[in-house]
Amino acid sequence: MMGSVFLETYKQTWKQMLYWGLGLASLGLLVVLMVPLFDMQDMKALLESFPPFILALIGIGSNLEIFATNEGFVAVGFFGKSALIFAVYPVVMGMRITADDEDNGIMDILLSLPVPRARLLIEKFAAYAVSIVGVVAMIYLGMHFGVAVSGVELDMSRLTEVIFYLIPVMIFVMAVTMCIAATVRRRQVALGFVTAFVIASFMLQTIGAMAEDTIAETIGQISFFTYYNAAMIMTEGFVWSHIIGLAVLSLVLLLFSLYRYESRDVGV
Amino acid sequence: MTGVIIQNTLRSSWKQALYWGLGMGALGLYITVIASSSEILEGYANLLEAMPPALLSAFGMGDARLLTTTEGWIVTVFATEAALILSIYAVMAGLNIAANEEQAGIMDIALSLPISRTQFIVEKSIASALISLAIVLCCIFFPLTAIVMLNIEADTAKIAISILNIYPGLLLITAVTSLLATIMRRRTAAIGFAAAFVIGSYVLNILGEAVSGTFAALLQNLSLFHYANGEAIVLGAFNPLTPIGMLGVVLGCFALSVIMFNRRDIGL
Repeated sequence: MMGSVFLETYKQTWKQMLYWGLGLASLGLLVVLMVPLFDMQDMKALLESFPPFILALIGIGSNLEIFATNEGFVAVGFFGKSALIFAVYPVVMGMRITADDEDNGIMDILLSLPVPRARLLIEKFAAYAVSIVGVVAMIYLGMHFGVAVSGVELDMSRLTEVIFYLIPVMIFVMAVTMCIAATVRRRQVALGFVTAFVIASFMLQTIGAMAEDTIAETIGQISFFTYYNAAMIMTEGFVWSHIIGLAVLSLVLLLFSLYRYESRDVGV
Repeated sequence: MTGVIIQNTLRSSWKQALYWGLGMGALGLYITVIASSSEILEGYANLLEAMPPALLSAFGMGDARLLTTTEGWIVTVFATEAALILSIYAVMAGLNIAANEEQAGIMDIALSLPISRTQFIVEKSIASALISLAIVLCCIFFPLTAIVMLNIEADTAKIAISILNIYPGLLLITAVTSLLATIMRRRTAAIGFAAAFVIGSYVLNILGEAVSGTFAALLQNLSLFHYANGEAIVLGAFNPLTPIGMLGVVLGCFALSVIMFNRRDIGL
């Protein structure tokens, strides 16, 4: 039956989604509750007195209005600096698409059912993608709840974009994980490659941002974290070219995973 | 205590240590080369002159004067991020002490050998600590080699000690994960709680840096990353009691792991 793998996968994953969502939502809630502790007095006037290169060094463009606000600080201080944390969940889910079942020796049993390999991968990918949307939605609700109970002045409209921008990035990380797991088969090796990919991306972006106008900044452009730039989203909103780029790359990785997984032996 | 488990664990894990050591070492090498640029250091010196300390703190750059020297730049960018990145390894190492064998259903076979449970946990913990030390030494070796070979002016002793200061933090994460795995038995539950411990600790440190006041200081004091960074060494504010205290907590966690593991049934 079409959708049976999707439903079964989702049935087995909703608890993880809930736990991860609650954990990350709690962090979002904590950040909102701490907003009154930010010293925002005269922030805009101070920022306006600085030369542009200094503003660039601290990750601020020309739109000072946004950064002299609570939501600007939440976006840059929490979502900007904690981007690596949001990459953990899609890696865990990406490993579940093929690697975990192969490592547990149950993939051959699963594939003995009348389910084509391609359908198995696509439906599992879709189920985990939905769970990513669920986790992100819970982060949003956690922050919204924080605003409601604390009465903190926080404009959620731009912050909503920063939060939901996580979805294409997290789905891309999951697609990379699935592609590596479908290619190398051994779970430990796949996990090693994915970890190296995420860490290298994070560090290249971090170093590039801290060493502007050097070769490090150019190298940092190859990191996918560069395309989750909280400061840029706060000033420009959704950058559709980046979102479409991430979506296309995810699709290509999914198709490559299907091709690889169709043509190789399954670990038992 | 025969050391047979230590030898066996080292034999089976040396490749993993090598990959992590080489990866982190390469990262340290790259950061060292970037940090040798006088333009970057001058840029941060200008930033420090132009911005009031309160504003720098608000952007999480409270110790911006660190970024005006090569050793400060290396420690701020590399040692700080290495503490976060290596925490992934530390969680994996903690799971390797008992949880992975139980998950694979081979713990009963291992314990049917003439080895006590205490010996098993203690020797595995020692092997894990040795592997972590080897990785941290790689993190020190590569940047220092670059400094010597490229004739970069930097205080190598401060860099070495700052990076070494990550080690107690790694041991603490390994010990906490090992303790969680012996208490909970289920590997996924242990991973979840260990991830919550690391992520929560990291976010508390970020928030503590971003806000001012006693509440912020309290939050930072709850974070392990507050103690496991090397910035205090470069700033000349290092308290040797901090790593000693952390090592005391590590020993306590490992001792509790032994007690818990001796008292419960083994997962088959």
